[in-house]
Amino acid sequence: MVGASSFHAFSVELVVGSLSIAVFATILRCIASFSNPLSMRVGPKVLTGIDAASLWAAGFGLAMIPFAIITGYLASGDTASDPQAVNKMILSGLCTGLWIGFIYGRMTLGPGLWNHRRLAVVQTVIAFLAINVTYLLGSIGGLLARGEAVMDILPFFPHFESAPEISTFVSVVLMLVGLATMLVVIFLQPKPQRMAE
Amino acid sequence: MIRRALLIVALLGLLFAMPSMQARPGGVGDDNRDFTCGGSCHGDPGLSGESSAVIEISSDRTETYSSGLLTVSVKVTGMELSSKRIVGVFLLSDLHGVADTPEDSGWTVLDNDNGGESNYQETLAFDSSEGVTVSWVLRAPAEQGNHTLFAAVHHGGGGVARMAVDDVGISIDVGPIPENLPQMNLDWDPVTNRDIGEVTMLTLPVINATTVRVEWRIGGDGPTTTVAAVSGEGGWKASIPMALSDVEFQYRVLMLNDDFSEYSRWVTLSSEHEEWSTNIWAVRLQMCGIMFAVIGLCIAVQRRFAHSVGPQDDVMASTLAVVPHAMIPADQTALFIESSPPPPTLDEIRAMAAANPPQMGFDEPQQPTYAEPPPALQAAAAPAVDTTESATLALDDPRRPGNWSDEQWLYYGHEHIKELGGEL
Repeated sequence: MVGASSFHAFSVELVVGSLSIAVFATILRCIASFSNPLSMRVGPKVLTGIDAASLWAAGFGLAMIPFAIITGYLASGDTASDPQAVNKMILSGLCTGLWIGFIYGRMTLGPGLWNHRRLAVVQTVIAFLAINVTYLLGSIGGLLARGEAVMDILPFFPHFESAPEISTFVSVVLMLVGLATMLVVIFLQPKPQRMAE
Repeated sequence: MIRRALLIVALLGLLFAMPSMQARPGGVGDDNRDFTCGGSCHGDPGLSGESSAVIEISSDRTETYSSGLLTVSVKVTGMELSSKRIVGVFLLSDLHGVADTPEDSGWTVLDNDNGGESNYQETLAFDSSEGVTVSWVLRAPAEQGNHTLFAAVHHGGGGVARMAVDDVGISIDVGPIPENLPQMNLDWDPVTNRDIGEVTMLTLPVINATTVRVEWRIGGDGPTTTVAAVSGEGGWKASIPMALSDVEFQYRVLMLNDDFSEYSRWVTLSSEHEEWSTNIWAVRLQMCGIMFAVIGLCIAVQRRFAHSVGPQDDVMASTLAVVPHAMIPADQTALFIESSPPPPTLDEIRAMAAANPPQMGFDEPQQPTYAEPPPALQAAAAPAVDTTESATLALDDPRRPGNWSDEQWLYYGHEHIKELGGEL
C-alpha cells in the first residue's frame, strides 16, 4: 500500500518540474520577443516550439496541481491546527489562480502576444510570480516534512508560523467577491482579438 | 559464453546479497505483548542465538496493598547488540507464553519510561557493559497475596535474534489497604500538559492525609523543589511555576499522616505552545476566493495591455517583414522612397519565400520572419489601410503560390499572373 505522502511527493515533483519548464520556455520566448537577431538565429520553428513547450508544460503542471493538493491534504493529517498547512492551502489557491491566468491569457490572446513586447512582459511576469509561489509551496512542504527548506538560505524566507483566522462568514464573502471579480472581468471587460503570429 | 558467465555472476551476486536472518532489527514498537516467542525468530533455536544478557529486576518496595503503587525497574547488561542497538524489555506476570502480561494478573501499568502504558518497551543501548535500565509504574491488583513479576529481553547481535529471560523474578506481597493510608482517589486524572507561560494549579484529591506536598523538577534528573499544598474545595491545591519554553516538568505528590508517608508516581508535565486551530472550510473558501480574484486580475491585466497595443506600438514588425513594404499603400510610398531601398522584385520575393518557408505553429500558421523594418516603415505603418479593400485579386485565387502571404499576393500577384500568361 502506497501512502498519501508518497503520492504527494510524486505529484509535487511532476508539478514543479513541468512548471519550471514552462517558466523557462516563457522567459526564452520573451527574450526572443525583445531580440530580433536572436529570433532570426533560432528561426520561427524554434520560437513556435518554445511557445508550445511553455503552454503544454504549464497545462500539464496545472492539471497536476489538484492532485498535489488532495494528496498533500490527505498526508498532512490535522491540517486545521497547523498554521503552515493552512498557509499552504491558501497559497495553493494563489498558485492555481496565477497559472490559470497564464494559460487563459495565452489561449485567448494567441501566439501573437509574443509579438507585443508589453504583453510578452506581462505574460512572463505572471509566469515568474506563479513559479515563485509554486516554489514557496514546495518549501513550506519541506518545512512540514523535514523542518527545513532549501529556501532557508534566503535571509527573507518566511516560515509561515502564523495563519490568518478568518471566520466562515467572512470567508464566504471573500469567496463571493473573488468569484464576482473574475466573472466581471471575463464577461464585462471588452475581449481582445486573438493575435495570430 | 561471456554473457552466460556474466549472468551466472550476476545471479550469484544477487544470491550473496541476500541479507542474513535478523528477525525484525528495527524493532516492533512498544505495546502490550505476551511472551509468545517460542516459535518466533528470537525463540526458534534454528534462527536465534544464545544471549549473554544479564537481567536484574528490582522494585521500590516488596510490599504494597491493593491498588497501591509500585515501581519496578529492570536492568539489562552484557547483551550482544545489533547495528540498530535496539533492546526490547518485557515485564511479565508469568512465563507461560500466553496471557502473561501484568494486566492479565490484575496489575495496571500506569506509566513506563517511554511514556506509554505497555508492558513491552524498546530502548536503545549504546554500550552493553553499561546496559540499559527501564522501569514501569504499576498499580497493585485487588487480589491480595504474593505476586511474582518477571522480566525478559529481546535483542540482536551477530546477525541473529537473541532472547534472555529472568525466570526468578521478584516477589511482591499485596496486602489489604490500611484504614488510614493517605492516598489519591482512584479517579485522579493528573495534569500532563499546559501552555507555555501558564502557571499550573494542581487540585489533588488526597484522602487520609494531614499534610500534602508537591515535589517538582525540570526534566527527569533536575533538582527537586518542594511546594506545600493547601487544603481547599475539591482537594489539596498546589501550583507549579510557569514554563518559559517547551520544557518538561515532572511532579509527584507526597502524602503524610501520623502513621504513613506515601508518594504518588512521577507525572510528566509538558509545556506546549497554545493549541491553534481554525475552521478548515473557511480556509478552503479563502483558497477559492484568492484563486478567483487572481484569475480575474491576470485576465484584466492581459486584456488591458492587449487593447492598448496598436499598429504603431512596440509590435515586432518582423511578422510582416518578409515584404517590408507590403502594408504601405502605393500613394504613401513616396514618404520613404528616397530614404529606403526599393521594394524587392518578384524574384527576390520568391527567393526569400523559399528560404523562409511557412511553418505551422502551435495553433496558428507561423509566418516567416525577416530583419528589422526600415525606418520608413515605422513612420508609414500607422496610416496603413486595409489592403483587402484595394485588392483586385481574390485571396483564394488558385494561381496563388502556396507559400505567399496575403500581402505578397495582393501586391505582386498581378506580376505573377502576367508571367504565367494568365489574365486578371
